Amino acid sequence: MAKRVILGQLGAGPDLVLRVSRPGFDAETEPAGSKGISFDSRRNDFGIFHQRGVWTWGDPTITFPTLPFVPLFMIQRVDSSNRIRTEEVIVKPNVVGAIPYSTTPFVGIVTVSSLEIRQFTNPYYAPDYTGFLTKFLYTIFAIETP
Amino acid sequence: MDRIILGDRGGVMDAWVSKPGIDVNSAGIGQLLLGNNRGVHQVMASGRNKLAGPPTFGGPADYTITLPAALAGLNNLWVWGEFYRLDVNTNTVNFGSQYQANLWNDGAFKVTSGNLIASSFNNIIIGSGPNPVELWATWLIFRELY
Repeated sequence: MAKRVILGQLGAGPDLVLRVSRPGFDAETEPAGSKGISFDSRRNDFGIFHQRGVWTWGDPTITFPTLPFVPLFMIQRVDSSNRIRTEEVIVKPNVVGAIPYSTTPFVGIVTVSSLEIRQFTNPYYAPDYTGFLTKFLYTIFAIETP
Repeated sequence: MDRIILGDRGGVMDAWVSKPGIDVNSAGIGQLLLGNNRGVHQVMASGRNKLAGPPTFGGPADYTITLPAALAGLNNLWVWGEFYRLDVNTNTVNFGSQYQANLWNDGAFKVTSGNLIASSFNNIIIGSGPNPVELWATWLIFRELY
């Protein structure tokens, strides 16, 4: 049976590690980078989140306990049918009204302690996303942006 | 240097693992891989499904994907997903661009009654007999509800 959890010394290395494999994979022998490994304490980053939640349009700017770095984050809009929009796109006429352009209507601006979700502003687009002002799922990861 | 604590740290019971080079006894915010009772993005289900084609796919449609029995009856789980086009003759994947509305990359996901509903907003006929294509979705479902 495959070893699923290693807590201690691994191989000849002096360091103690915690390594966990996915079902059917051996935590001791799977190579680095294998998709069969679900956790390895020797890696720098993991999908741990610092804060996550649901933000409704009009709420105050999201704040979180101050990190020592600017974190990776993700936002996803939930539309009026409660569906998650993974890639938000919208076609709007430009200010002249002649040629349609596509744009991503929302952006997130993150600092070490806040996340602001706001409409994308561009002089070529009419900022009219009234039907899109719903709610957003957000995740602040404990991962430093490169 | 201590990297792992299974048990009490400062009165909080948890599995504590610090990032490489950080002492787990004193690791602060943003310096932990596990611990402090914060969650991680644990995947409950994932998949890759052909939704339509070959040789063509067309207008907007909702596709129902049956999820594992462990998720039966659940609604509004957190989903990350993407739609993509597979060009059969060349076996290449095309994710499109986030700036192209109403094409194959444009869509939404929702978990309803233990099923994943993948809503494609593509609104033109893509592909042909000599150049067959398929519409696919790749997705991950996380533990949390929204």
